[in-house]
Amino acid sequence: MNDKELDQLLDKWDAPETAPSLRRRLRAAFPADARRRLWGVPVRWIVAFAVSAGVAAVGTGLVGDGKLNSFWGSAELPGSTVYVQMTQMVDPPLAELKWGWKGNVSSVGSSAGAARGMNALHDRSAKLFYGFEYQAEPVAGGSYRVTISPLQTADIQSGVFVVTAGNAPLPQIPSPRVVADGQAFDVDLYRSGSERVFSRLQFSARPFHGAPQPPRQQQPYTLTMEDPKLYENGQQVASDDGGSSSGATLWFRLAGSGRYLIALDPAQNPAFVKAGTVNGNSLEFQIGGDQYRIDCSKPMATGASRDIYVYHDREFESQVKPEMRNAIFGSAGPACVFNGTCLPHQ
Amino acid sequence: MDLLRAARKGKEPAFLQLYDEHHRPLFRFAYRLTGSVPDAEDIVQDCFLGLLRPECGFDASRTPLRTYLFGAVRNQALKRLRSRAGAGATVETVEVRSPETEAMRKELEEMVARAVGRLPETQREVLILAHYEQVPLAEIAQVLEIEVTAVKSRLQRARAALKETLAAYVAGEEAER
Repeated sequence: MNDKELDQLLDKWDAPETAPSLRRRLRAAFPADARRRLWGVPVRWIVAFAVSAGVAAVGTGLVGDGKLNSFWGSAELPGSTVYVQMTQMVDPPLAELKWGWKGNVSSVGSSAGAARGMNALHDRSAKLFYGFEYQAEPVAGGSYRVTISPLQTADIQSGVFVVTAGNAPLPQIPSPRVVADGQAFDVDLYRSGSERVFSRLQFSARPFHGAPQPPRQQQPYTLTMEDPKLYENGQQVASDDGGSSSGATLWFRLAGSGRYLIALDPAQNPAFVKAGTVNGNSLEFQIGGDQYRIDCSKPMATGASRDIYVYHDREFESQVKPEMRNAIFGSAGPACVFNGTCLPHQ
Repeated sequence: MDLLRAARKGKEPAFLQLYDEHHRPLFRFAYRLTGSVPDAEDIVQDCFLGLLRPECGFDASRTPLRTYLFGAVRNQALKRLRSRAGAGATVETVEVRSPETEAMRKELEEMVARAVGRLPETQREVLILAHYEQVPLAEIAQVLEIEVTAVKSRLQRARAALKETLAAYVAGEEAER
């Protein structure tokens, strides 16, 4: 073998390109004391996040009708699909102001011929989960046998977030019951005096996405994200086919960069800065020298082109397990809650 | 060097520009030394962050930044390889990126990677810098802090060893045709 032949052989060994996430990791690791910090706003609160074994979405908003949030997902079973809708609610609706700040942890998956998952409220300050596990097994006549069991927090620990919280026992574990397609099955999460927080579970062979949405869809400050595709500096970096989020704030997390929260109304929160516009099925903004665009399958806001306000929450990474390299999409309540001085416009 | 000074003063864009200008060859070098993408990423990240630390030994009047960074990557990679070896692991096989090319090309790529990975450490780093990154021998000498004659000698030995290893493979391929 001569030198030329050796060189040709050596050239067969390519090295991979550097992943874009490395640049993001480096940015995130740029020393905080060296970085010019615009806002020293601590994040005290996450209103919603989803841990999904199937297609899932979380929608959240302060809507004044007792609804805290909704989760939609689906589980593939042999020969059929089970669509799941779980809505956490509070009664009386006024108590929404107290419970609306809690996080939502939900999941859906399948095993042994049944849809299985969990649904919980996460009280970060009290480090408590109020939740349960469920199983929905298709039975004759298009119905489902629903079984509820206590929440195993280990399932949450295995998700994407760093979670340290205990488990608040349910007021009562309901007995297994057969429900018709789409029929509501309520599970109490918390009960004290006249105050009741509960989850409304519904199972169906058809998707719930086509069902009428809560009134918040018409609210002028609501943003909606359906089947989002995320672009960073013109390159697609993430997508969530089938994903659907809705709320006063939308957000996405990129590994190493933290979370970008997007709102139509900054709600007097100075951490949110005007950074771009939303128009039809797309929104676009520029922050920290990078340009981001989200394309969706449906309009993201009502009306024509509107300004959007963005808060780059770098500290969010500390809440996500380091090994989670994937992007995460989600939604949250009004922008004001991110510095703890909420003055909702509703 | 203004970029580094600005980065040390907290200018993130300057820091990112430094990264954009230098990271590709450093990442390839780290990857070929360790055979691992996660290790290579960690090494490159540590090396760039190391530039910002007060104890950073980089002296622009003595060494070009690229040379310094190659040296930093090499030191980190060796540290990792030695700790791996100390833990009972061997560095015999080199992990190759996911196969998206046809089977033969993949096999050839793996074979070259394995052959380079089996070279003694001192020869491997010289070969990677010289062949894959086209670093001049004098600069390699600076990176490794050895004489140019030693670089030449290591490179010659590496190439001779590879010719022998790879010739056996090529002969086998031809015999199969």
